[in-house]
Amino acid sequence: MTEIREIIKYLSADYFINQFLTILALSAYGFALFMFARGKLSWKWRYVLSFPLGLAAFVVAGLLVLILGIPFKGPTIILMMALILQATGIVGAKGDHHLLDGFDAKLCLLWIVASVVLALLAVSGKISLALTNDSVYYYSTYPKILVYQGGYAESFDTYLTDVGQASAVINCLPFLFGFDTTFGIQHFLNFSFIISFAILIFEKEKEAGADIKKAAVFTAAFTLFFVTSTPFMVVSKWVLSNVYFMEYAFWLFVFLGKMSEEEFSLDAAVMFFMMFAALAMLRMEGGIISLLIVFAASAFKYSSKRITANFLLPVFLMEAGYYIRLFTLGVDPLYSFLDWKKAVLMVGLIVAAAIYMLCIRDRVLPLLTAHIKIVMIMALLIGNAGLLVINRARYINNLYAFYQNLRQGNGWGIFGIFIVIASLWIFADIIKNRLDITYEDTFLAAIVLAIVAVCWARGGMLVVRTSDSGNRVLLEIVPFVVWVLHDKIQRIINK
Amino acid sequence: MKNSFKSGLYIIIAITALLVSAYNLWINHDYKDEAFEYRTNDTQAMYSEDYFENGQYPDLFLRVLVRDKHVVLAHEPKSYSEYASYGHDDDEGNPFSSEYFKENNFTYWFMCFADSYEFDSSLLTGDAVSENMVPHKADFRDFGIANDMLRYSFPMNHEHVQEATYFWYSWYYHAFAEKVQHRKNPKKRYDLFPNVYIKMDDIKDADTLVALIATNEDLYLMSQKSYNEYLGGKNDRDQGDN
Repeated sequence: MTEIREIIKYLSADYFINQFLTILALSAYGFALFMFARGKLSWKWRYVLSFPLGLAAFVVAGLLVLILGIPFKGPTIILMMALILQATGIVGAKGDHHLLDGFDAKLCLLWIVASVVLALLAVSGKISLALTNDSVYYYSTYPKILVYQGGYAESFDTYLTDVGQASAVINCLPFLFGFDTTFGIQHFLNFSFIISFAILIFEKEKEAGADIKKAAVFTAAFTLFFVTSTPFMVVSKWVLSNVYFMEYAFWLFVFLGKMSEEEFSLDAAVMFFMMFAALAMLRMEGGIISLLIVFAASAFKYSSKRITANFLLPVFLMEAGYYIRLFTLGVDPLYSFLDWKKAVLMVGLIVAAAIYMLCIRDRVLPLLTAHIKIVMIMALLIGNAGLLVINRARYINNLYAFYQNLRQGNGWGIFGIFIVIASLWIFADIIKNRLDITYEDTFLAAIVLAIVAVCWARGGMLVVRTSDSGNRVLLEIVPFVVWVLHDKIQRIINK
Repeated sequence: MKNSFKSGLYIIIAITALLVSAYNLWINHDYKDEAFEYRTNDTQAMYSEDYFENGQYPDLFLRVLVRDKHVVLAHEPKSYSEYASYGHDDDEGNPFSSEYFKENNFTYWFMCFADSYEFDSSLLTGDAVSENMVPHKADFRDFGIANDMLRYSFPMNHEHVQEATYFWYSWYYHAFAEKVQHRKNPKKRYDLFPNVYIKMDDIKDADTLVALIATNEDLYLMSQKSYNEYLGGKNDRDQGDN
């Protein structure tokens, strides 16, 4: 065994530095995108979100290369990334925001040092992960084959209909840039997520009037509660697509709420565009969850044109572009999650959403617009009721599987208690506020209902075990639950 | 809300959150279940030593090994039209020439994962591989079975024959192979699983490797030098068991 370990260490001598530099390069690229956009986002957020944005933009570039049939190689992807940067710069140059307004050299230095230290830690291999068969074949072997092939091929079969293509592109990084795993990439994204979660809680506390000491204590308490929770530990450490999906969905959800009252800022718009494009393709249900976020956010003051161009358009471009590529390849696997009917339905939903935003929202049916959040929940409830009628056995079985997984703590630990608390609290608040529901409550309720529906739509029956597909998707709600609980506690304290 | 009550509530909630966090740390520090188990990989490869102990994922080791190496293979992948069942797939009994997979899937795999490759028709194939390599089996390390490695080589096969390739490996090499291994009559038991054998002695620094595929789909991987020695040198080695 020592002989094998020595051989691996010898043969993989370059992998550490290659992955380390890739992480820093993606961070630098994400930061460059923010700077080229010349927006009003704070320096703090430009630093913290630089890697998530850089990774999302890499994914978008890679997917564009694949969809357009351009040879899928390192140089072409980098060229596409350069074009994205250039396009951002051209638009950004028209703005009047000064590039270095508010620049703080100490903060910049802190970011650089923190990035280097955290990247070293992320790649060190000292932090554990969990691997399963899907980690090896869907999210490592398939990406390698994609790089080898230089593009999609009909023979990829179910890899094209069952694997989130954005997750596959992320996992191409090792084979494009000279290492073997994405462990470091995943850990570094987790670090970015935890740091941003803590800052978001802190800022919320300060906005609510808490002094620094109280805000810091509460931030530490809630962040620890979140980070130590079994579902977050399971999702963040498991080498699959769920971790990327959870984190990008949360960033979009929280920043759309946070920036709803602020003036338009191109850097934030670029971030939303890239993250929506990536989220739509990270998992097969990406389009549905993206639409949920968009509809929930439409309750805010974002203009309909902004919603359509900035939030819906990237989802449409990615989904429609991919479906066209997929079905022109002639892929027709024996077993698949995605088929042409679901593809048409998905594109139809996105187009319908755009029609709603441009033609109905704020124009006709003002009651609908004013109550879009509760309408969303009602629509999802009715939709779920419809699925129950269509195939009762599957629906009941799936609900039972969800319940048993929660009850048995399969990947949940004791977190099920907090889901029950959050659910009852949301329900009580809806009744108390006469169907007036907050953005946070809306999205949490909506995503749970959507997950139940999507799991029904995938066919087959869910099972009672941690690795069940439906259970893993439901585990992704953990940051939303903690966020809702914090929000409700804060409202009570600050009454 | 009165400030003192607010402060009290803050403290209670913060303490509760911290207590729950402490409990979580305690129950999660070594969390595992049927799917989830922590592992650390400071070798920078996905492969780890316990995979070797359990005979799992030989391909994860192989892909690190061959990434910067030249691999010699016996022949390029053959078309399905060269096999007996071609044109007869819809016949009664659904005949299928399993040699189409056994002779070609490792080749597809190496073409994807090796830095470079070449085909040499003089290489041993089929039964000749077993006859020449089994006597030297003690020189090789057994990295385990290659079911999934071969099952997931289907994307490289553009002929798209028997598109359920991966089901073949799933059914044949999981359900059927398990059954055969545990037959009641010991004489009727045999090992169907394709194994990966690697001669480790000089493989680390070798630039060129030779991959031999036996009739039973066992893979023997060695340096070019070792291969030449086996063919040209004396075969003075113990017989190895299967």
